[in-house]
Amino acid sequence: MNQVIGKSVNRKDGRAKVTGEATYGAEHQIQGLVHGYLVTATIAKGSIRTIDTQKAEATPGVIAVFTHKNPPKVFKPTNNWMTSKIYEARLPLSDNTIHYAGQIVGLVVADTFERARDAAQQIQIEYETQPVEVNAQQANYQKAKSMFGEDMEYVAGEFETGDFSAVDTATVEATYTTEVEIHAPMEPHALVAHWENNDSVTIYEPTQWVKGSQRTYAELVGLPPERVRIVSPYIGGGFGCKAFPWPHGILCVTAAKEIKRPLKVVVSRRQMTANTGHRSHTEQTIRLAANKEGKLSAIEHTAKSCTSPVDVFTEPCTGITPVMYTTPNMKLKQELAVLNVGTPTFMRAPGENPGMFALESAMDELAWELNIDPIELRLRNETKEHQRKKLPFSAKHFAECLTTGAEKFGWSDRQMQPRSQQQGDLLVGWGMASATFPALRSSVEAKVRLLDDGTAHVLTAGNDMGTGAYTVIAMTAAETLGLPVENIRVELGDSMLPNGGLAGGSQMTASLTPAVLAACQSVLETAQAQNAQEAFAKLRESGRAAYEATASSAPGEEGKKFAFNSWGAHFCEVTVDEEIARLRITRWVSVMNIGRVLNSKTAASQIRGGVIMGIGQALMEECHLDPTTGYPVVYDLATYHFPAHADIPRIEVSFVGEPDLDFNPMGVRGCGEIGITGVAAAVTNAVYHATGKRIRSLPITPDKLL
Amino acid sequence: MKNFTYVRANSIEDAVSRATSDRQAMFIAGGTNLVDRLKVFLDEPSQLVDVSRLEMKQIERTNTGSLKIGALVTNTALANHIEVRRNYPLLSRAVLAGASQQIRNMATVGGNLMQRTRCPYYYDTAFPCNKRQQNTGCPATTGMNRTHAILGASESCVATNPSDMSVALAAIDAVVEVEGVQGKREIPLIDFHRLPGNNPERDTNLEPGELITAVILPPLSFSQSGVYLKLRDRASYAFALVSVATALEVAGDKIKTARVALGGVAHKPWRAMEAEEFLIGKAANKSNFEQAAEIALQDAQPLAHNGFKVELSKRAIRRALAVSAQGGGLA
Amino acid sequence: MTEEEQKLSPKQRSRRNFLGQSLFTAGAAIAAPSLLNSCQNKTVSASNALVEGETMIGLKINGQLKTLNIEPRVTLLDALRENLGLTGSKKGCDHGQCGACTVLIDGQRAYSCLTLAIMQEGNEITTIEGLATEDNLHPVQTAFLENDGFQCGYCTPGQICASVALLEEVNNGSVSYVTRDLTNPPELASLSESEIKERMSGNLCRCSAYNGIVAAVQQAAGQTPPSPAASIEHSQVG
Repeated sequence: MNQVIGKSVNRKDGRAKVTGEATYGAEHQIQGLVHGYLVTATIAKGSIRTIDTQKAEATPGVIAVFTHKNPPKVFKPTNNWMTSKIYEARLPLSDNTIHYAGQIVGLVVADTFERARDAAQQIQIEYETQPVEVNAQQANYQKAKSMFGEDMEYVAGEFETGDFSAVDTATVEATYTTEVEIHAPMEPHALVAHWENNDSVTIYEPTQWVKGSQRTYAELVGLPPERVRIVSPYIGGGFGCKAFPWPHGILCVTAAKEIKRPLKVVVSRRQMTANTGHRSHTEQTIRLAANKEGKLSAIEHTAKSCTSPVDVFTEPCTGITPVMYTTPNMKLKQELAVLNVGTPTFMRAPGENPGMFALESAMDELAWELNIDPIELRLRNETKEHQRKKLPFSAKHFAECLTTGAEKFGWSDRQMQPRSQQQGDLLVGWGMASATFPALRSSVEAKVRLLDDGTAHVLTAGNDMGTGAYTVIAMTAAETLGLPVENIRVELGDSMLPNGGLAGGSQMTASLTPAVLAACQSVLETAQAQNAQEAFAKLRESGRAAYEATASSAPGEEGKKFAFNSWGAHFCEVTVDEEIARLRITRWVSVMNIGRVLNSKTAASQIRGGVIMGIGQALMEECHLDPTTGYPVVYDLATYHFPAHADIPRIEVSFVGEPDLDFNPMGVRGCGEIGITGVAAAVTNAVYHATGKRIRSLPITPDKLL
Repeated sequence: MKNFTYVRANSIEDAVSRATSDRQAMFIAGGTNLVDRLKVFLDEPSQLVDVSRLEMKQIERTNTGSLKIGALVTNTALANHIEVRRNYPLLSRAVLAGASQQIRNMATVGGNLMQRTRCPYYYDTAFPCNKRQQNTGCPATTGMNRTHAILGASESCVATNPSDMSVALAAIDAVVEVEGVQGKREIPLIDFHRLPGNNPERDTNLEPGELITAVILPPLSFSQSGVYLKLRDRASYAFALVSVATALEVAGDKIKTARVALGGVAHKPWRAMEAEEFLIGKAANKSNFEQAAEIALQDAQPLAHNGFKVELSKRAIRRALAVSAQGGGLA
Repeated sequence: MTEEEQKLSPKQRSRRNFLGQSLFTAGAAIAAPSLLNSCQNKTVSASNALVEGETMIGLKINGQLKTLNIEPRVTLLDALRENLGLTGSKKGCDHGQCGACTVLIDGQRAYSCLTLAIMQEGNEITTIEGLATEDNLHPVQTAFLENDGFQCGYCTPGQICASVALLEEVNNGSVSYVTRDLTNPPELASLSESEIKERMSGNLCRCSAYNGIVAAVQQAAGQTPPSPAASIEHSQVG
């Protein structure tokens, strides 16, 4: 292997994307399409006393108005992750109760978008309001419920007796908070539902989980999955918020059946802020104890996050703690409170991201307290095993991430004192932090066809939301078949294709490429050929149109022998113009260990994307709700800032380590999320170095630097 | 967006006459703020009078040495005009600090003066708002008010004017030329926008039906010292938390004239007259700039979440004045 | 106004104003051909008549005159996407806050979500669909492809249209907020990263392909951008 794999290859879907030909969910042109516009609650808790739709119904062009009084027919799904999953357990329009501001309370359908939006505004609602709970600082936290059967508390060593009494020279105890963040993909949530004959439906919707979405919608509309087709060739960004149906999707699909017309629903940017997921506010307290050489003797990590009244989602911040640094004594605890907010959900490195902000900040604080270089402190405490699973890590090169990054960044020139580096009138700070993310994979299938025109087709119901999946699948096939990448055609994002798994948990590449590898090997076996050229020759001889093979790939027993994680280190330089509280990030180096790198171009972009979203979290991203009504006051892309071009320096990305062949036959671990972990800590650590000011509450807006 | 009738004005007189006879009519030119507002039902005009094709697109030097900017000159054309870059660099810089290239290409000078606050409570009909509808209340006073006014606000409204251009125009002593059915009149820029008082629904002192036709920039001999400093949550494409326009005329070692205007802090571009007066006759040094900044903010009344703006404004003034004292440029 | 200027259409005059008095430089080598003769052949149908309800308007898009029947409240973006099937221009925020809907109007970049379609009659509109020829991508499109200036692709048409306009703006001597000396505009050959970033900041990218986009602009400007690929430090054989 290595003719194509590991090279820098342009995206297979690139031409479609740079010419505007790539067609996203709500862009499919369907004859007779009508438009739906959502009506959302303007209160955060209470109930609808009256809802008057007469005026809206009388508006020109209006076809239907749905409210809790006449909800479209929907079936309750099993919602058990395995067969189906919806983001919010409460079905839309199921009653008149309001649990959060922005909750969907109606859908207006009209012949044009403008008319639907206008009519939606004319619906008059009287509410019974109740006092809202939207303040995360004052919320009532309880022990978090488990989401996947995992234990939300963990104690090892001295903590079993509840005694945090290790005799140490240094301790750090600090509380770190992160604000509510939204995924804010560039493509809004949007879909078109097209029914035929009342017994089959095609849903054009961006989804990170094509087959899961198919099964879920099938349950919701009471049809077998084969009567539901999901079409999702392109996804305009997801980051965790486009994996399962949201209430608007359920409403669109069920309403379309009732009106017997193809229906498009686009969630407005404002509505999205409230009702299509977010990352919860987190508050984490970390205690570290170490001897004077910096050897950790105890870590205690308590994390609080919030969920909605209509579903449970815990931001699992403590998952990273047993993975990073070795210690005999460890105590982890997750707590959860219910607020009148929409349901939070997975957002790029859920748990790992805020968790690493807290842990890597605390490690930096400990390094300063002990006067030990922060890289050295991490090297001294590296763990070779997953302390909770008690399994050794496979193909771990964390230390090389640290040392390689230090060299590339020029870390050895760092002055070991805050406020010691200057550039003209600016304070300069250097910071670093570690990165980690678990390596996951699931059972998937891919089909490969060799055609007599000399091309190979790879078909699977995976998807590419910008990850580069089209390209790495083509590269895997090209490598295995001995064909140029140009001769491979990849089709994704259609539930008619074999199960391609979930683009989430950084697992699509790690799941799919082994299946593609196996399917390519299998099709060559079918053709009794060494490579594709031989197979093509046989096709020509026999007059056959194609050879075809389908193969699957799934995790096996390896999880009993090893723990699998990816690793990394970030190094950054900030400048602070202290008088006017102006912070800029001027330099960035990330070194990652992700097993095999399939495409050095798209993998670099994945890491950069993660780093930049982390910079957004560090510097500016935060949602606010009105304290009285619970209604969002940060609700669009002017009020919710995420980085623009001007905020971002060049980000140098390198990869270390060898393929992780214990993990899967491709040796690849995936890199969609690791890039964001540790980023915010690298920034706050650099700000401390620059200014002597420790920022423990994100984001670092100018007010926090005064 | 409510539906409306649409008409292209033939002439300024035609436009003014339509807007005077139909009080629910609105002018549209670049549309960058109005179309945005229409989409969220903040304005529900009966009629849109498209003035964008009228002849108000010139930048001309007048016989008094002023520069007359047609109301339909785009923000981009204004910022890039050679006379503006040479003689009013703080205006050029302020315009360039605002929005994005796309918006500046579309937005006009007249429209920029007419843009309304981005207070999130005003901007969403889910909330009551005195600016949208009188006597309905101001939830921003007790709500999230990090971006709100610290100067000149009232109990009925704590919104800020979002324009960057207007802050520079305030510092320049620009004059707004308007035309109504009664004819033309001129309004000094600093009197063009209003403080909210009990009538926050009115942003400006324009009379119904009046159309902005031009903005006049008087000559500014010390223009090279002009500075526009904008501080915000994102490095670009964001409204100001605080912005400052300054210029200094220094004769010998004494300040002869000072201009200090603030943005992002009040319902209108805020000219810090008392700070300017303090500086006259003083040396252009750090301690005087510090005192001037203190004076400029002495009447500040912060709300629960925007107290930082007081300190940030002072520091911005100090910095901008210091750069002006060095001869101006990028702050 | 000179006599010569009076003969020009208002739009041509405003273009002159934009250029200033002494700054006219040679036309953009990189701009799409359709942009170069942008101000000719205006056709304005519903001129100065009161429009109520749906009406027939004509829009000149990518060199072709398209007629459509719409209410005056329909934005240019919705007209493109919903009425004309030109979905290359993206609706990201619908409020001029993201840049995904960027198109070129008479060669200048604009947010198509913030203007009414009816207001654009007679103007030359270029969308992402109008940049490439049948055989060749526009050099900016190629530069995006080679420098990985996108991931999900949703902001990409807007980023590309903005980049095409940026190059022409720089050729025309335009300044930005970060131009140190406003009387000395930068040139393409030496356009700095901070200039590119400031000028592109009206186009957000949540996947954050910003490094690749800046590199694409550098390449299209005739500069040599750094490689978009990661460096691989260890043997990946296995």
